[in-house]
Parts: sequence; structure tokens; C-alpha cells
Amino acid sequence: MSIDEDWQRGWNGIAADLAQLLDANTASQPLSVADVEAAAGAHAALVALLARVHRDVAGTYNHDAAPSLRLADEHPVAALGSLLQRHPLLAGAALTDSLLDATTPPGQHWASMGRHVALAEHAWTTTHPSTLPRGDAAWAVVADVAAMTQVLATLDRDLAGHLQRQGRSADAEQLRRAAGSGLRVVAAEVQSVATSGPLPAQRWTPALLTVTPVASTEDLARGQARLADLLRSAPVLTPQDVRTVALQQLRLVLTAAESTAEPRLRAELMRLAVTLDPATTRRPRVRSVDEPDPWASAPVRQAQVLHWFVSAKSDPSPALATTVASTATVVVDALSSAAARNLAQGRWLVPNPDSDQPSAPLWVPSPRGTEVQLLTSLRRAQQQAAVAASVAGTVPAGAEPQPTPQATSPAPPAARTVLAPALLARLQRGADPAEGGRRPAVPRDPRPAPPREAPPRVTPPDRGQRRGR
Amino acid sequence: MLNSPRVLPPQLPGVLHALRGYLEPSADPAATIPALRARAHITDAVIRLENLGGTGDEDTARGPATAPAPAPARGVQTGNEDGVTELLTYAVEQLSEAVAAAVHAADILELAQARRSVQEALVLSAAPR
Repeated sequence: MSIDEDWQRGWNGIAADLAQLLDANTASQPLSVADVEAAAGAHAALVALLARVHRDVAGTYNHDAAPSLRLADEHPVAALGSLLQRHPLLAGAALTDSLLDATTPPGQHWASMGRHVALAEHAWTTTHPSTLPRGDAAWAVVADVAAMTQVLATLDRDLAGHLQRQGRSADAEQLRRAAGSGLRVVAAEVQSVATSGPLPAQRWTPALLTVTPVASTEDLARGQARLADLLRSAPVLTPQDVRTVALQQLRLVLTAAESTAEPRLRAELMRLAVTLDPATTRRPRVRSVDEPDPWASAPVRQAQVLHWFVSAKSDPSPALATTVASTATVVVDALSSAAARNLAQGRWLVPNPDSDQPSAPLWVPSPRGTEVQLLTSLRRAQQQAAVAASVAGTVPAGAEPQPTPQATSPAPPAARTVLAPALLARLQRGADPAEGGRRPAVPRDPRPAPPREAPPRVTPPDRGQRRGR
Repeated sequence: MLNSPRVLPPQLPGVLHALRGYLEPSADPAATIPALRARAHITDAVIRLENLGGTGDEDTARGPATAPAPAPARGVQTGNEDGVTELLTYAVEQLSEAVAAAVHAADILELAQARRSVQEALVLSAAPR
């Protein structure tokens, strides 16, 4: 599973479920007790997630301020956070119960949304704090939060009706009151503000910290893929981390070589072990500007999990050698890229070649074209890993399932784009007579504003200034 | 890297030096699996010992990059004693594995000597102060 799949599946899934719920016009459909329980549980989980994401991205500025017209006017993003923090959290069914018990299509949409919220929440909370979206990427997330909040606030009235019918009058009353809090209007304003400036074409990718457990040879391929992902997205990676991961990879390769009777594969794996050796045994003349970060040791932990699996197996599977040979290439590529990236970004320093004190050099960013031994060794290992992978591909089948390369599918549309037509259609259907016949205001055009001569580009702490005024 | 302050047992820099010397030159292209495995164990021990810091070998560019912390005549002063004990214990284990995997008698002797030095460091680090 790709590293950002957890987040994308969860976040996009919420948008799709919300759109389905809007389309289904759930107010007029009878829901069972279990359905209402599922809806209440999913509603509470979504409110908590939106408040959490908003707080992490927008900071805590003014979150404690009581919502007011003035706050909404001057700092709509802060007002949205304040309203989300105060939105009712209903007592509902536990996720596992709601998934089993929901009976009607709307109930199942709510249950599905609960599952997607759990996925997204897990991904968000296991993301390294330093990699949370910033700048324009933060605005894109704020726009999504605002779009989801508008739909949530629209569904509040439907849910209040269902709660009332189930005898949960207090909860229904709470939701009705919240529906009049101005949440939807503020969310629409925030969406308008957020989309008034440039939004990144590329979607934000979380850097997850979780490692994949490895209990079988099939898991090993997934563990290797996860290790490569973790290396690519690690916000902090020291030369020592790279060296440790290379060492565990070398041990994996040795065990794989030992386990196979296929002479060509064994020979190529041995060559790979020998080419990896200098990257592990030689102390790199490279230093990191970062302190080792316990959060970022996920690649090291994943590498150790892989090592423990193979070292604990007294009778390795015949598939081990081909699995390792065909997956080591992605790991060594990721190691090499990580080293090159850190050197290019100046996060790793090399001794100043002009230093007159070689024993106590000044440490400087690596000048372009400088040969760094660690990187040179890893590049050699990269070439050999590719050879080993190609030999693994020619080994007669029957030994193992080859790990399938991850297909690259086009990115699904952003949550705000998915929700815009459904929200518009719902609001154009007219007002619910139960609301007193008021026709809700049609939201602003959710499409991004046309580019201006000088689009406001602000950093997250100033996002309250991102106003189309 | 462990928290400061940290002062290494006095023999550790010598052990590290000897182990690094053992790892030079690079692996023989015709090396056997046991020989490469022994090198991997030694490398693992070296990385752990380097993680103790204070030898001027830290990977982090911040702080006093040039001056090793002065080693006292005896013992270890550290902000994280459990961490030191854990790292030294692990290094001893790795060197034991390396001894077991080593092919040549001379290597076995050299590695056994290094292991004994690390064991002594372990005893010193655990001694009451």
C-alpha cells in the first residue's frame, strides 16, 4: 500500500460518502434505530476530525475565541475553527457495530463515512508533525475542510429530524441549534477565501510513521515497499540512519543468498551484498544538521522489522531469494535518493575541502559535483540491485508470487470538487418546510476565483488575511 | 544519540578504532556468506558504539564537533545510563555473533579481544558511582 493511500482513501472516501448522503436526501427516508446510531457516531467522528485537521493546519490562533459576527468577518478561518470546536458531538454507535448493523442505504452511507473518517484520522494522527501541509498546500486542505463542513451543516437538519423520531429530543435540539450557528455560512466564506489564491497542483502527501509488520514472505515484499516509502518521505534522515538501513538490507540479502539453490541468483545477491558493504562499514564523512529525530526513525524500525523476520526463520521459504532480489532495488534506490536529496538540500554537510585543519574541518554544504563516498557506494549498489532484480525475474516460477509493481492511477478529484455539485443541487432543491420555508442562501461559486494580477500568497499564520477583499 | 552529558569508558575509542580497522579494506568480491555476515555484525556493533557519542564521531554537525569529551580515569557519566548499557550489551552480542561467524582463527582472536573490551566497558558503565 502506498504511503499516502491511507489518507487519500479516507479523505476522498468521506467526500464521496457526503455527496451520496446529499444526493440521497435522507430527510425523507425512514431510518432504523441502528441507522441513526451509525449516523450519530459517524457525524461525531467527522466533526472531531474536521476540527482536528483545521486546528493542526490553521494553528490555534483564535480557536478559543467565542464565535461572533466580528470574528467571522475579520478572521473567518479562525471562526470556522471556533465553530467546529463547539459543534455537538453526538453519542452514537461504535464503528464496528455500525458497520454491521446499518440496514438502509443512507445508514450504510453514514457507516461507510465512519470507516473513512477512521482511516483518515489514523493517517493524519500518525503523520510526522513537521510534514503537515503548509502554505498553499494548507489552503487546499482548509478548502476541503470548509467544503465538508458545509455539507455536514446541511445534513445536520436531516439528522436532527431522525434523532427526534427516535426520541433523542435533546440531541435533536442541540443539532438544530448548531445548525443556526452560522457554521455553513462561515464555511462557505472560508472556502471562498481559501480558493481565492493559488492552490498546489500536486496533492499533499502525508509522511506516515507506521511500519508494516512482517510475518510472511508475502509481507516481506510489502515491508520492503513501505521501507522505500518511509525513506522517500522521512522529514529527517541522518547518515547514520541510511547506514543502518543499508546494513539491515545487506543482512536481508545475505540470508536470501543463503536460501537459494539457484546459482545465478545466488551470485548476483552475493555481488549486491559486497557492493552494499562499503555503504555500511565505512564511516561516512558526512554530518547532518538535524538532531536524530525519534519520530523519523521509522525507516530504521521498518528495516529492523524486516531483519528480525528473516533472522528468526530457521527454514526460509524458497520464495525468499526472489522476493528479496526483486524488492531490494526499490529500497536501494530510495536510500540513494534520500542521500542525494539531503546533500542537495544542504541538510548533510561535508568537510570543507579548503580547510587548513583536516582533523577539525569546517562542515559545509556539499558543493555541486563533489563525490561523497556514501552516495557513490549506494549508486553502485543501485546498479547491482537492478541486475539482481532482473535475474530474479528470470527464475522459473512456482517459487513465489512476484511482488506486483504499484499501478499509478490518476489522482481522484479534490474533496471540495466532489462536493460542490452535490451541495449546489441540494440547496437548489429548495428549503425544507420543516425549517420554516426559508430558502437557504445559495453558496458562492465554489470554483476557484480567476487568477488575479497579484494573488495573495501568505504563510499559514497569516491565513486570516487571505481575503478576497 | 544519547543525551548529554556523556563520557565514554576510556577503552571504547580504542575498541572502535580496532573494529574500524578490521572492516578495512572493503569486502572481498569473493567473500563467503559467513565472512560477510561477520562484517555485518561488526558494523552493527560499531554503529551502536558510535551512537554512544562523545568520540568525535557524531553525525550531527551541531555542537562541539571537534573536541571529544574528556574521558575520566574510570567510569561513565551519562544522562542516559540505561541507553548506554543497552547499546553496550547489544554491541557485545553482535561481536559474539561475529566471533561465531568469523572464518579465520586470527579474526576470531581479534574479535574476541574487542568483545572483551566492550564487556569491560559494560561492567564499568554499570558500576555504582
